[in-house]
Parts: sequence; C-alpha cells; structure tokens
Amino acid sequence: MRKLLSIILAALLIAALLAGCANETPSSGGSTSTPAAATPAPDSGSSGGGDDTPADSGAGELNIAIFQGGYGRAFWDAVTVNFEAATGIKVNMQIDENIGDIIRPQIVAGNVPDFLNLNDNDQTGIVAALIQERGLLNLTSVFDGPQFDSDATLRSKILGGFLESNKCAPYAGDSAIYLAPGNASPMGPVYNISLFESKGWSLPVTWDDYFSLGDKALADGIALQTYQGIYPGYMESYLWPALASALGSDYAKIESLTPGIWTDSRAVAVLEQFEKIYTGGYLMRGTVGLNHTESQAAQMMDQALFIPNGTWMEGEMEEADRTPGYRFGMTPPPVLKAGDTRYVAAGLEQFSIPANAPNVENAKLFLRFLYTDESIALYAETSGAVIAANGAVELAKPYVTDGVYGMFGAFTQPNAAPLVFGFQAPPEGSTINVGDAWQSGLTEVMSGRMTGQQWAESMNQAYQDIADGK
Amino acid sequence: MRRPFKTKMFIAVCTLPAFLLAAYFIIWPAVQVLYQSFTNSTVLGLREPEFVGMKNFVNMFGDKNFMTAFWNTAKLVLAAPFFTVVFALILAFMVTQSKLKERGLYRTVFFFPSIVSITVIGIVWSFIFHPTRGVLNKLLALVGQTSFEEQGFAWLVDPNTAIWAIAVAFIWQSAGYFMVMHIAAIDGVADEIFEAATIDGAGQVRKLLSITLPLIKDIVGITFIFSLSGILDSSFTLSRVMTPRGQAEVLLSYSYTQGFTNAQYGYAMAITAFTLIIAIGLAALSRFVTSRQEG
Repeated sequence: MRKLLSIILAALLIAALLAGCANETPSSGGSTSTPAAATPAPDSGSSGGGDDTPADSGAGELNIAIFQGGYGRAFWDAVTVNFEAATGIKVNMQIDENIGDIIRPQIVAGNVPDFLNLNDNDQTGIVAALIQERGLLNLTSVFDGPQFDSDATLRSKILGGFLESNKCAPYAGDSAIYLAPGNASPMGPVYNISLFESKGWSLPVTWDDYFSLGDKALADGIALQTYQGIYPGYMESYLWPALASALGSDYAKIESLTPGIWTDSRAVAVLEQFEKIYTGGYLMRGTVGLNHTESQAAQMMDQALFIPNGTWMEGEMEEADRTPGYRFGMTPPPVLKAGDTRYVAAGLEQFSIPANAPNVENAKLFLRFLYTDESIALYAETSGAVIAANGAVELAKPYVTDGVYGMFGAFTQPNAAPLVFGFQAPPEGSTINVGDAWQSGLTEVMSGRMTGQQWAESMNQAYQDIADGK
Repeated sequence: MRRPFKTKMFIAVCTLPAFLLAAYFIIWPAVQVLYQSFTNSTVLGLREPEFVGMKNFVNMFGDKNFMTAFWNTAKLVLAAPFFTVVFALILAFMVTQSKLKERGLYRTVFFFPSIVSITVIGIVWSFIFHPTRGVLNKLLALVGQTSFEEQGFAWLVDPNTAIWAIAVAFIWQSAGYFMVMHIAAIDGVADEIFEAATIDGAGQVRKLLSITLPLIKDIVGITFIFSLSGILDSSFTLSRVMTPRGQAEVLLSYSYTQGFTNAQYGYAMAITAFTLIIAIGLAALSRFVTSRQEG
C-alpha cells in the first residue's frame, strides 16, 4: 500500500512537471490590463472622411504592448477607450516599464503583439531585433492611405523629414516605412532660465562661447556640464547635432555607417570639444558615475549649467528639489563656427506593427487613429508631449506647461534646424553594436582615459568591422 | 545482493521526476546551447536558423569586446575564489579558535551576507562605490587620499577598477557561507592536536598553516570549486547591477548583450558554450588537483 501511494505521488509529480511545460495563453501576464480609464471620448469616431468605420473594419480585438516611460500611461488608458468606442474593437493592453522583457518570450512563443510602442534604441533590444530580423510590417501603404478622419493621405499629416529618416525607414537603399513616428520633441542642453537671467549670462552659440561661459560659471562654483553618466546615450542630443553641423552633407555617412567618416578632421574637431569638457575641468564632479535622476537633480540645484535632456524632464522631475525660481529652458547644442547650422536633435518615440501579428488590419487602424486631431490633443493633455504631426504643437499648446512649450522654442532659435537621428540597420548578422561603441567611447573621453582622436579611431574601427562583415 | 525487479522499478519510478526535471531544465537547454552555437539563430527566431559551422567561434576570438569580457572573467576567476576561500578560512579559524564570548554572534554576522540576494548585494556595494555619496571615497579622504573624493572618482565606471569592485562584492557575500563549511570541518579536528601544538609553542598562524589547513584541505578544495562556479554565475548579476553596460563586461553578460540587445542569439550561444567549457575545465582541474593531494 505504501509503495502504491509512493508511485501515485511520483506520477503526480511527473504530471505536474508536464503541466508546467505547457504553453501560456497570450497576454495573461501580471502587467496586462484592459484599459479602464473612463476618460470621456472625444468625437473621434464620428468624424467621417476616412473609410474605416467600425462596420467596415470588422470588430475584433487588438493586442498592444506599450512602453511606460516618462510620459506615463494616462494617454494609452484613454486612447484605447476612445478607440474601442469608435471602432468596436476590443483592445488588450500590456503596459510596463520593462515591456520589452515581458513580450520577448511571448514573441518567441508565437504570441506576437499586434502593435508596439517601443523605441529602436530600447535597452531590451526588441525593436532592434525585429528590424534586424525583418520582422516589422511595411507601413508605407498606411501612410500613403487616408487618415482616420479625412481623405487626405496620412503622410501629409506627418512633420517633414521624419518618415524619410532612418528612424522610420531603417534599411539601406529602401525608403519603405517600418516605424511610425510618435511623440517628437526637441532634445538638447537644458538650463535654468532664471539662473542665466540673474547672472546676466548669454546662451552659447559656438563651442568657444560655451567654454567661456564655463569659465564664468566655474568662478561662481558652478560646473558647466553634467549628464546622465551611467546612461551616456543622453549625450546624443549634443553629439549628432554637433557632427551634423560640422560635416554638412557628409553627416549622412555617420548614419549610414560609412568607414572613414569618423576620422575626418571636422568630426575629430567635434570630438575634441567633448574631450575639452573633461580636460578643461568643465564636467561636474562624479558625473560619469551618476544615474539620470541624480544628475538631473544636481542640475536643478544649479550644480551644473547644462544637462542633455528632453521635454519629459519637467514631468519626470516634478517631485525633485530645485533652486527657488528654477525655470526649464533649452537651447541648441554648440557649433564649431558662428553661422553654422545649429541642429537640434528631435527625440522620437516609435510605433510599429510586427509583420506576423494576428490582427494586422486592426493595428493599422489603431495607428491611423493615433494621428487624429483628437488623439493628438489627448496626447498633449495627458502626457504633456507632442506627436510628430503638422500643427501638433499648436494643438498641444493649451495643454502643455510653459516649460515644455518653451523647450520647443529650441527648434526656432536663429539658424536652428531639427535633426532626426537614426543609424541605418547594420547588415544581418553583425555583432557590432554601434550604440554601445560610441557610448563607451564617450565615457572613456569624459573620464580622461581616451582623447577625442582615439575616440574617432575606435568608432572608425567599429564602422570598418561592420563593413568587413563582423 | 541483487535487488528484486519490483524494488528496481520502485526506485526508477521515484527517480523519474528528478531525472525528467534535470533533463528538461538542464540537459536539454545545454544541448540546445551547443546546437545553436553552430547556427546564426536570432533572438526572436523569426526566420529559420542556418548552420554556420565554427564561424561564431572564429568570430569570437576576433571580437575585442569578447576578449575584454574574457580577460575580465579570467581576472575574477583567478582572484575571487582564492580570496574568498582564504577569508573564509581565516574567519572560520578565528571563530573556532578564539576565546571570545561573542563567537556565536560573529558566526551569524559573517554568515549573514550569504542569505541576502546577490542583486541586493550589488546595489548595496554600488552605494559604497558611489562617486559622490559613496563611503569608500570618504574613507580614503580620511586617510589622506583626498583626490578620489575631490574628483568624485567613479570606481564602477573605470574598467580598471570596476572588475575588482565586483570581486570585492562577491567575496563579501560568499566568504561567510564558506566559513560555515570550514567551521564544520575544523570542528572535526580533535582538540588534542591544537592543545599539543599550543604546548609545543605554536602560534595561531603556525596552527592555521600547519594543522588546520592540511587537515581540512578536502573541504577547502570543495569550497574552492563551489566558489569558482559561484563567481561565474554571480559575475553576470553583479556586472549588470553594479556597472554601466560595457564598462566591466564578463563572458555571461556579454553573451546576454549579444543575444538579447544585439539579437545575435547564435553568437551569444557560442559565447555561453565557451563559458560552459571553461567552467567544466576549471572544475575538473580543481578536482584533479584536490584528488592528487588526497592520494
């Protein structure tokens, strides 16, 4: 009897093991949520120019995976409710700070989300992997088709320069759109307007101006620069605009991973300005070891004049201490010579649709819904940010704070121009991560272990390795 | 004595769950790792992987980031287990041989870090090494080394120091655990031997080196192997938690970066297979050396 009992228990253990190996059902994770916010739906469904009404779209469901970043989740809670009301399509939403880690095993298991709000430079690498594996849906026909609420093409609604950039059309020699532009906002040197006014300082235009200002600030015990040291990617809002300004039309070679461009004397001259930030003593103490909130908090306490950031900083640091009267301002990063174009990096969030998603048509419809005037206004109202659509800044004006609205002014400074940056997708099978390469180089330069020239040579080597098929 | 068939069946059925679990969660993944290391498979598996032979392994040795990760891992493997076992031995000897009343308390205090999650350990040590708020720079300033505090030296960002910071965190976490194993071994040594040594005039260091160490060398050898596998495992977590990406990459963290961030799953599996081979080789070598000593 005892043996029989033991055998039954052993059999139960085996059964439990086999049950544990069974596939999970899709979108049943802890972070999954059905939008519940009862935000009043704007009249998005009633406008009539477009051809996708609930009747002809065919109600069904839509599984969306959303990265919850500095702009929060309020927009997604509200817009999904509005979309359901307008189309009758049931939306299942997964939203999380670590959405990439959550959906990776789902995608591998074949449970592919229909729609993604996740950037190609996300740390989890999901979208980068989808680009590398040619796993994203070609969205060109969506942008050449009608808007949700108008017969005009969706392409005509998007800000110029975005759809053509590598951020949206990532493949070499192919203008097809695989990623749709979401929120677009300026990124660059953020400073305290009140501090500049009280000191009577002018904003720098050239690197020489910048370092002269640094000398004045140092005399007052304020460092010129800090950045989010352990996340050096923030410094792209200085690096790419400065290189674009110096290299002119040759700048495209940076994005297209062309060997030789980094060791061009104009590029080296830019990298040497970064070297000078460290060697000249302009970098705030301990910067390379600080995280984003530590460095941002320090800048808001006037320990440093500038920090690279975007319009989300105001919301992200809402609770942080600051010097009395602190006001957010943003200016274009420095250029080598007065009169050079002052590029301002346009930070871009991206939407995409996996090619093998089960509800592709519903996902396309949802994408078009996100560009309605009502959704754009809702985005501004709930996130304090602006979709990359024509007229979006004005639509958003009543909703965003003065600080955020003022930062958009960086685009309209004298001689300023927006810059949408994105590397071309490396060849399939490449083991070189260009993002890691330039960020490691920056950290080494900002720690005094590498010169600007050495940084240029290391980047050139990375580009050469990619060209050599490594 | 031959066991009857029914008994054999009973044993087989009872061991089957453990065997199936091991086969499914350990053996099969290891086989998959080896298989995929010869393919160009990608992280999301959206296309059929192709067999690429030894290409991933050849590329590995031409990849300077891999070589950096390899040397970082080598430094950890060479230093961390050695110092862990040495500290564990010294602590165990002090706790067992000292006449202190608080021996029990020290035993608990030294063991305590080993019950804390390695992730938490990494976070705690990140604060100690913090460039502006860290205790280490402030302590160094107190003993006259003010330059670290003045410049806000970032120990976890400098590749020359970050890997040793990881080693320190690992040693602090695991020395207490191995101390307990050494205490158990020392307790097995007859008190008369230590008393005789004391009468002969042996000091504490002589007793440690000439009595304790030779008599418990089997256990020391085993703890060294455990520590060796421990550092390979923990180096991934500590590297990810304590240091910015790329500043103190070790083999497993580089495998993760290539597999999940760079989407090169086949290449990542080649790195993992290489690490596995190193781990097996080191364990076999340690065991061989220990068994020779035993013989």
